Amino acid sequence: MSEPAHPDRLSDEQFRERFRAWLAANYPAELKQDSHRPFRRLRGDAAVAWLRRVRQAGWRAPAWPREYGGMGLSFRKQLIYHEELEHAGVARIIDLGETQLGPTLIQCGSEAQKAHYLPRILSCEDVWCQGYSEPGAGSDLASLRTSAVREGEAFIVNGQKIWTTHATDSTHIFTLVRTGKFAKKQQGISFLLIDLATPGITVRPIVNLAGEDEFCEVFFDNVRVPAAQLVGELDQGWTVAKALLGYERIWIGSPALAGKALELARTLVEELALTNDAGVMDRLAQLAADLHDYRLLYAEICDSIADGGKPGPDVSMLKVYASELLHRLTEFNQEVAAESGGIVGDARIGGALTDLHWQFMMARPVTIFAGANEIQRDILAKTVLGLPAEASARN
Amino acid sequence: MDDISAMLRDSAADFLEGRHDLSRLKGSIGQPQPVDRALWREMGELGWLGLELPESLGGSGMGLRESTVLAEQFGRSAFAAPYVAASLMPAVLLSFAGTPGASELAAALQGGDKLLTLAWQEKRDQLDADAPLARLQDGRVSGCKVFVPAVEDDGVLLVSVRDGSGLAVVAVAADASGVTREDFAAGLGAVSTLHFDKTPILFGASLLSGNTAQMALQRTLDAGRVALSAQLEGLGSGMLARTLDYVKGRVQFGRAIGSFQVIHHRCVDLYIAAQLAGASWRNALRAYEGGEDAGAAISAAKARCADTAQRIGREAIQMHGAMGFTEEADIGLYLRAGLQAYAWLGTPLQHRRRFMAIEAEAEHV
Repeated sequence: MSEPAHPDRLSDEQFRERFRAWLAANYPAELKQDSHRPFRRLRGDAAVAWLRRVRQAGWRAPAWPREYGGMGLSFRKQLIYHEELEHAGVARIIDLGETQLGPTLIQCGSEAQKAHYLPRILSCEDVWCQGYSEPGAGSDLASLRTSAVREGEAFIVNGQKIWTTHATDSTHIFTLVRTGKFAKKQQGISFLLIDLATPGITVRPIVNLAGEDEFCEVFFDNVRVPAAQLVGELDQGWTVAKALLGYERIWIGSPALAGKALELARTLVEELALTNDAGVMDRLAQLAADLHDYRLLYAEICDSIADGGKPGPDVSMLKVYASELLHRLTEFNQEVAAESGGIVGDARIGGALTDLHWQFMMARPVTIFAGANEIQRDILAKTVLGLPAEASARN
Repeated sequence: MDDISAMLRDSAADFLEGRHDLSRLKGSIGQPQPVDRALWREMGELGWLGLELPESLGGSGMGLRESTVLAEQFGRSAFAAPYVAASLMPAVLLSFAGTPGASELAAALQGGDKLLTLAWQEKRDQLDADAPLARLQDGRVSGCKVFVPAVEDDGVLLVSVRDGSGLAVVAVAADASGVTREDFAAGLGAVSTLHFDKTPILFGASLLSGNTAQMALQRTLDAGRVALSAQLEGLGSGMLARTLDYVKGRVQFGRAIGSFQVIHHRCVDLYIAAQLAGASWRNALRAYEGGEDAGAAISAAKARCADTAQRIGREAIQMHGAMGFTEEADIGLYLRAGLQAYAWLGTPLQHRRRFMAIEAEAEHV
């Protein structure tokens, strides 16, 4: 049942119903997001097992064109796809092969790269992580220094990447490396694909504030990478990496996480018997209204893209607002729970079992990663509001 | 935006550019300002008054969508004319009435000859209009109405009352016998407290009664809230535009203050707030046009747009520096306009509570 074949021939609502039915019948109940783990993620074997099931049923890679093995969905149906994942409580999976590398290769990769890597991404034979940030290049990513020097038919890579999510679960890493020195630091950066099994690579996990070891450091010591692993032109990696930024900011701006946090908030005020406390309920009303209106703004922007528009610079505001709303929601949950909000780990609140520390901590990095919110505001001020650049700011 | 809306927007922008002068409103802080009747008549000539009137009452058959286009533009320029109170709301109300009196009032409204205004509110921070204490007995009204905008000596008041059988709406001349009126400066205009003591009604009969009156009042308040939300968002966006111009031009420490990162980030936050407000009232408009279950959407919009306009206004004053605190700068007029619209037809606090209550009810169904 629920074969997705020829989604183009389905109306949006038929498509929604089919995917909903398939998820209901196939997603394991024990892996659902719930009040215990509202932002539950799947990683490692659990993620791979689920993605293979998705693939088998034909629901893998909604945004990829069909010629590369994806579903080739319209943007509108992609939105529905994501809404249904949220509705079904499917845990989030950071599958950068599907969401970032695949579309990048489809746009900028060689025929050989596409033929080799794309099927392996879909089958989860290769699992990819992203090697962009470095200890000295966070918000100022273009300052990155990990070097790749051409030697015969290979690049010799030296340096260090950091905040590499799920590197220990991955087989490959796509990186930005420095291949040349130019006046403008965005030039001389190249986009290089590296097998993590190559000699000279060390991966060290970093434990985060929620107690999870999902970040990693990746060290490169004279790592020999075949020259054919270069994506796009030499020294033009910045352009390659930026090609997908607009779409990435749209998915990062999804109201889904905030929606889960609000569900938890509603559960908490019930279980804590706070529904007659006007102070608490007015704060909750504000949060609920914020999410309500944010969903509307998100839908307006997504609709304009679905109608043929391109993501403009104003999509940066989605990430800013959604991540800060998530902060405020998780803070509310932690505060109303009083002493239970100070428990590190599971706490039973009335009939609910929840880990408030985890949801509070897991909301922290959302305002930091993928361009800190301060950087997003800089971008918005310059590109959307036309305010003059700061005197001291260098490109 | 469809063609008619785009045309309306452009003609409103032209009109405001040529005929609207904020300096007229200066030098009279605290004095209730009468409506500029010449301007009001011009608006009638442009066909903007009574847009919502049905064709049976001589109207154009346009609707709330077109009115929100005008209201947003009026907000952007802090235009003082009481468009929502004296055009949109009376027109929606009259569209439910089929009496000869309604036709006469519709004609007066469209021409801009008389100001019609709805007198429904009897206490502070009231949301619903279905249980007035004002009474109709033997063709005469007794009771009290508060915070009534746009009352002119020769105007007509559309008064909600209860008669022997229930709710009704009657028309009363503002200068009729038994009317006592006290005016207060509010926003860029005035509001009045009205006492009625056996005041005779016009046309010898109610305009609306029973269920029709109840539905008409509800739709009128709903429509007013949607249009007022658009106006408030326009007010906020207008203040932000003025502030952006100001910070780009104001030089301190040898550079435009708009080049400082702290100003960048504050302006971005206000921009995001204005975008949310726009999305919220456009949703409320769609819900209103859909006819049913519009309450949550409308309350969310009124709360959002009122909060946003006032937040932008307060921050705009700060970013204008000392100049922003003077009557000379226009920005303060915007802020004052927002103060009245913020609370009128329901404060954000009450509307957010209503939004939550409706949402909770919907969940339990």
